[in-house]
Amino acid sequence: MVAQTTKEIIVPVGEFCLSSNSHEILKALRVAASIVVVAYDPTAGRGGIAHMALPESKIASGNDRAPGKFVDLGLPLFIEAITKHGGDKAHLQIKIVGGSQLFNFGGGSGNLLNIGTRNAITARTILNREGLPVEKTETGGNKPRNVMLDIATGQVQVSHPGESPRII
Amino acid sequence: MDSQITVEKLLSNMDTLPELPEVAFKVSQLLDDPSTDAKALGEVIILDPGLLTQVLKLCNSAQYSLSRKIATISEAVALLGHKALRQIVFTIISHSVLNRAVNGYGLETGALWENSITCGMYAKQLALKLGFADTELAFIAGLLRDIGKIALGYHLASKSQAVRQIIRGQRLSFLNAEEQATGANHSVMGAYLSTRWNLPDKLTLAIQYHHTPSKLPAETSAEDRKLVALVHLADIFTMMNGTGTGIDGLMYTLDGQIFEMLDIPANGDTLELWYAELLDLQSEIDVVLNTFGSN
Repeated sequence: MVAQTTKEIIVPVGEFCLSSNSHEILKALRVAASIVVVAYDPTAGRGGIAHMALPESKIASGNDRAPGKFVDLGLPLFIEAITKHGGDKAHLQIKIVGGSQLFNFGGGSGNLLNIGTRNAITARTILNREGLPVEKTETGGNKPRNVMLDIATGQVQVSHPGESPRII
Repeated sequence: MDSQITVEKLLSNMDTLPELPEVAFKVSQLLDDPSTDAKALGEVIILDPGLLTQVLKLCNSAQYSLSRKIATISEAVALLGHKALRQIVFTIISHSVLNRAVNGYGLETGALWENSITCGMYAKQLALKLGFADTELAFIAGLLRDIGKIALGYHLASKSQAVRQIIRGQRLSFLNAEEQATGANHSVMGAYLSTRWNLPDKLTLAIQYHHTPSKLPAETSAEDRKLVALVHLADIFTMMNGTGTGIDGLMYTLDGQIFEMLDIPANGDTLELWYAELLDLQSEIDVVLNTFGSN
């Protein structure tokens, strides 16, 4: 019998991905100001990654208002999708990663473009509203992060460019 | 120490210096002259083995959505114009310089290239939005703004620990930390390379001041100030996007003077909307990257 190889799936910004295939690893790479919400149901062996760029959709209209780009639209859709496809809300392990900020941003330009911080706050608010406790958070700072979810184990690894991954 | 002397000293310690093919200078000169005919341009481009093939490949890519396939430089000039061709030629010759690992910044092969193409596309789109006439020049400036990292990365590689300590201990931006650790920063280093490669002064200014547009020399023209300011903004959005970023990540500051330089209100919602729009360029960026087989 030939062992099945692991397949890595990159989740670009503005999209989410669900999987119940234990041979798949979902990845979001170089997550900077964006925010990644990882959800995993260990009882169903099902999980997913949502990779969103901006906190609130109110700034956009028409074609610019793609739901996956915005936390306020994309995150509820992600949660709905994962529960619809066999994930149990009561068992979901939720982790939030990303939301980096430009350096020393309190200076002359005030709080313009503090998207990273607001992405993290908005994600927490929505998850709280959905009744989903956040198990781990790794947000803020000034470095991008790579995030990896192993569907076989639910293990989430995070790394900064040029550094070794850590399990969170 | 004078930054020019420091940069020369740092470069003299390197085994090989990053070089832009000589054809870049010739093409740049020819394309800056509106009277240049397609025949003269074709004669220069064909001097570089492979360049012609690459130029035609990019011209025929989905990026330009031409109704028919083109096979000669004359056709490319006729259908796309001088400025678009200049963008194409610079994209191709920059690939050999930018598509390499830069250890000092934790960048694997391809990362700086992807980052640079992204910044170039963002700069071009912002130029279009802000009514900056030469959108292709904005692309090239965004594309080349970080070339100094290739040379400085060589020296930073052995000092990553020191840089980390400087940033943590003194709360300095990465640009300042580079200066403390090596005596120069990647902007100054890039400007030196740009001059050495005989690139137009506008590009050298954009490279040198892309993190600090408010420090541009007083005599800089309003048009050049606009170019540098929009490259700065494109660079900020590229960092926020994260594509191809290294250990320096987002450790830079937004220069508050750019709003005046670009004659736009300092409005967070507007900037966010622009960022949202720039994210939609990803498929176009992927087309360019795929042309080089690096994505």
